[in-house]
Order: sequence, then C-alpha cells, then structure tokens
Amino acid sequence: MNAAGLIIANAVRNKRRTILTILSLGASVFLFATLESLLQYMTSHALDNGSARRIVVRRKTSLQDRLPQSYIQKVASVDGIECVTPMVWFGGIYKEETAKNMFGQLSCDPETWHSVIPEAEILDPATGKPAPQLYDDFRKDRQGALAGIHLFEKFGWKIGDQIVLQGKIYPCNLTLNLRAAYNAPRGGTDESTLYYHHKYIDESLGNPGLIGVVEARVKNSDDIPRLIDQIDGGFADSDFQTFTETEQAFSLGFVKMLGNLTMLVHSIATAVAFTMLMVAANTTASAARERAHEVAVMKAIGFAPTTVLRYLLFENVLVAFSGAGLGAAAAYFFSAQVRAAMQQSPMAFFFEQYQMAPAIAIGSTLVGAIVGLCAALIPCARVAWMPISTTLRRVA
Amino acid sequence: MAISNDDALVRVENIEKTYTRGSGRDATEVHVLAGLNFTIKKGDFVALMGPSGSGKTTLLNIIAGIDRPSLGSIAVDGLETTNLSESQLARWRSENVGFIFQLYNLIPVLTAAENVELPLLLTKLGKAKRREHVETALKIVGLGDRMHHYPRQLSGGQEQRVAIARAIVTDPLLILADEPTGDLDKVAGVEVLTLLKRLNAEFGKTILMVTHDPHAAESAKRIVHLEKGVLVRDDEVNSVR
Repeated sequence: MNAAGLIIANAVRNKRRTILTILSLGASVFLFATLESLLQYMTSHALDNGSARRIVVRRKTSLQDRLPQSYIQKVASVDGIECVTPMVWFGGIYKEETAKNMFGQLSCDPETWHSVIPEAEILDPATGKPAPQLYDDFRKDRQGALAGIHLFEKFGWKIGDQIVLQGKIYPCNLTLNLRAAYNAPRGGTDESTLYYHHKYIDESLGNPGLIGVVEARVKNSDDIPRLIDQIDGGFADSDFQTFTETEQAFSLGFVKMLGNLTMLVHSIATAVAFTMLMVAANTTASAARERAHEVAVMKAIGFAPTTVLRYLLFENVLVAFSGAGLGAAAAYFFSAQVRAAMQQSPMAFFFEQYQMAPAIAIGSTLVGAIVGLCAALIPCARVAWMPISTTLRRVA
Repeated sequence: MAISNDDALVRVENIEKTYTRGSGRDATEVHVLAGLNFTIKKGDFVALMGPSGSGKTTLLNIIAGIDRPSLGSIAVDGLETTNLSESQLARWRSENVGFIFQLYNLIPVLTAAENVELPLLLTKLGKAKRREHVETALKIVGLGDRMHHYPRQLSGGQEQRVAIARAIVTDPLLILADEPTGDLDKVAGVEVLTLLKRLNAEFGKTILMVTHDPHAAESAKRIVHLEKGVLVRDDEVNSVR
C-alpha cells in the first residue's frame, strides 16, 4: 500500500455514497457542459460564418423594414466597396411547417454572389468534388437555386430536383431548381443556406423594388469603420436611413437578440454549478464528520494535519473528477443527441453543425474537480485540525 | 517507591492541566492535573491507575504530545516536547511513540497488513522494506496468517493485536496504551497483556498503560495511582504483591 492506495481505499469506502455522488456531479456537469457548449456554439457559429471583409447594410429602423433597390448601386459605388449583392430573407415553408424543415433562404444577385462570398466552393453534391461549372447553371436559370452542402445531405436533394417554398412572410411561392451546391471548407460562411435569384422573388412580388439588406465585400478591411460612417452618413438625411455593420457583428446580433435566453442559459449554468458545489459540500461535510475519529487516530499515529488534509482533499477531488469526467464525457458523446433534440426547435437550422468542443468537455471536468476541491476545503480542514484528544474522547 | 531520575526516558515536571468548562459567567475552570512530577525509566512497564476523571488519559495524551499542558514541561529521551509545533509533534510521534487505543481504531477499509503499514508511510522505507517490517510486527503479535484480513473479519482480541503491531512497527521508544483491554473479554485481555509483557521483557519496549483493571495493572512492573490530578501512589508491582 502507498498513499495513493490509501486515498483510493478511502474514496470508495462507502460505495453507494461514492456512486451517488459521482452520478449527481456527473449529471450536473453534463448539464453545465451542454449549456456552456450551446452558448459557445451560438457565439462561435456567428463568428465563423461571418467574414471580416463583408459588411451588411440594413434599414436603421428594423431588420424587417425594407430598403429601396436603388441602394444596391449606391452602396456599390462607395469608394472601397469591391462588390455587392442584395438579399431578402424569404422564410418560406419547405414541404411542411416543422422545425426540422427550416433553413435559411436568401435571395442574391448571381452575377456578384460568388465575388461577395469567394470562400464558398461550388460542388457537385453527388461526388462532393468541386464543380465550378455548376455555378453557371445556377446563374443562367432564373429559378435556379444554390444550396449549402448540408441541405443536400439533410434532405437528400440532387442536382436538377425542383423544390417549392411556400411563402409565409411574402404572398408568393418560389419554385426552385437545384443547380449547384456549395461548401466553405475554410469557414467564413455557413453551409446550410439556400440562395435564389433576387430578380425571381422581385418579379413574383410584382416588382416592388425593395430589398432586405445589401451585403458588400470591401477591398480592405481596415477601411470598414470609414465605410460604415460613409454609407450610414450618406443616407442619414433620406427616408431610408441605414445601419451598417460587419457581417460578424450582424450574425452576432442574432445571438444578442436571444439576449434573455443567453442570460437564462448562463443563469441555469451558474445555478447548476452552485448546486454541484452544494452537493459536493454536503457529501464532504458528512463524510468528513464521520471520519473525524479516524483522522484523529491517524494524527495520533504521527500524520501531520497538513498530510491528512492533503489525503482528504485528494479523495474528494478524485470523486469529483470522476463524476465531472463522466458527466463531461457523456455531454460530449451525447451532443449529437442534443443536436437531434434541437431539430424540433425553431432554431433547428442554426444547430445543424452543433458538436461540443473538446475544450468545453475538458474545461467542465476541471470546473467539476475545482468545485469538488473548493467544497472539500473547509470541512476537511476543520476535521484535519480538530484537537486529537478532544476528538478521540468525544467519539469514544 | 519513587524511581530514580537518572535513566528516565520520560520526565514530567510540574505539569498542570486546566480546562475551561462552559462560557461567559458560567465558565468554570477544571484542574485535571495539578503540579504533577513523574518519570518513566527506559524499559519500564508502568500502569497508570485511578478513578474516572483523575487525569490518567490526560497525562497519557500530554506525554504523547496530542494534548498540551497548561503549565510544566515534558521531556522524552531528553527532548522537550512541550515547545514543539503541531507538525513537529506529529513527526516526533511517528518516530518515537506507538499508540494503542481501547477501541483498536483500525482503518476499516484497510487490511491488517495495510493498517500496520500505515505509520510506515511516514518513513522513507521502500515498499519491500515496509512489507518486511509489517510481516515481522504481525508475526510478533501472532497474526502472521491474518495479514490480508479486514478488521471486520477479525475478533476484538485480534483487532487489538493488529493495533499493537501497528504501534510497534516503527520500533518506537515508547508505547502508550489507553485501556488496551477495556473492550475485550477476559481471554483476549489476557492475550493482549501477555503480549505487552513480552514486548517489554523481550524487546525492551517502554510501556505506559492506562487501566481501570487492577488485574491488568499487575502485568506492569510499576503501578502509579492518580487521584484528582495528583500522584498519590507509585509502587513496584512486587512491593504491591
């Protein structure tokens, strides 16, 4: 036997309690890791799917309010802008109105879209290999559609398939021919959006000449602050004032729109961590109390209070680490199930690529272990420094 | 008969111990030991007797360094222990004192061998050497064949013998036993006393044993009586008989 053997023997001395403690800590860490992972995903998803060289010009009053089509050319003519494309969020129903069928549906100008989003690679979804020639098919077909590779995989689409999007926001349906797929192997844009011709929706709506946003690629990202001022300043006196921001900020804005939700998730994660602390502290306090006599005996034999404290803390950290590791591992391996569960929510399309980052699992394990250490510190120190003679006499 | 101080292993001088009971206006001071002077010579086997509350266990604890006197000094093998810090006392105990408790106090999750090995974890001995010491100690107490038994698998007498093996495994200068037969039946009690006598006679171990039992006390070479914190009698066992 050595010190490690003594620590392990003591850590598992009450098997039922140890198992229950590990399970309760595991459940808490599972919840904590999952919540933190979802928050981290929401933020990083927004940042990963935005380019530092793109800006989004929208109506200042609200994202739901439209801009005149003439703004496309006005923004494009600003010195420092490389290319632009209009965009309209269609928000139509594919097949039936279920959360799993929701995905981004944006109009674009096919002549400029690939210049605005050059990181996208055009693919043949059947082979998964680059097929830039398919972009021409998309460009030439007024009802053509270009969809992210994830949508092809999710719905089993093939090039040439025709899909119908029933208008929900707009009083028209879009019948689209799938012409090309795209992916973004180096990030920069998401792979779950469907693009269609802006002219098609404009005509379908009777040519109102309105757009949702203007998405622009700038020549130099250093110019962005100046460009934002110039664009918004240029429209300051018009009836359609603009609000311009980077694409990353625009994407993050959607996460910020969930402000109360993120705060709620943070609050729940904090409450979970606190519960974890209480569970660990309660278990440790009662276990330490039960061990007071034994600790006194060890000290009488010659173990210094600091040595005893070290052993007790190692025991608790071992149990906490086991529970936290179990919970974090479960959360990591079950993140696919979490993703599946999210498919039933209105944010389903947003979570299609959700997978817990290993760093979150490792971090949560460490949080659990640290919580175990913190929870054990006071009760164990109290027992370790109890006067030997009093403790032996009281318990005897 | 008083013992000569020349070859004293333990020297207790003018020891006083006072507890405060209660608090505030109700606080009362309880004098447990009152100016006690006492020595134990090397190789002696001393039984400490007296009625409950006479200060026997307190004196034992003070000598062991697990309690501190209010006044006075203790020297063991020439070392003044009253000035040592908690950690220094712990280290000193691990090297010089073997403790035997009334309720054996074995660690239930460790085997007999592991319980005996416990004090050796504080030494620099390697695993093989520790094993050797453990086997020797358990053989001395007659439990060489119970090494891998857990305390719950042993009788009370066997548990106490394991506790004795734990007390002697570091080859301490002094063995302190607090009512070692108090929780045993007569047969097991006799076995333990025989073992203590053997440790004293064959291995030259100095033993201080607190006991209520006059028969147990007769196993010692010397019986010291305490009453109300004062040493009232100090006799060689032969002179008692």
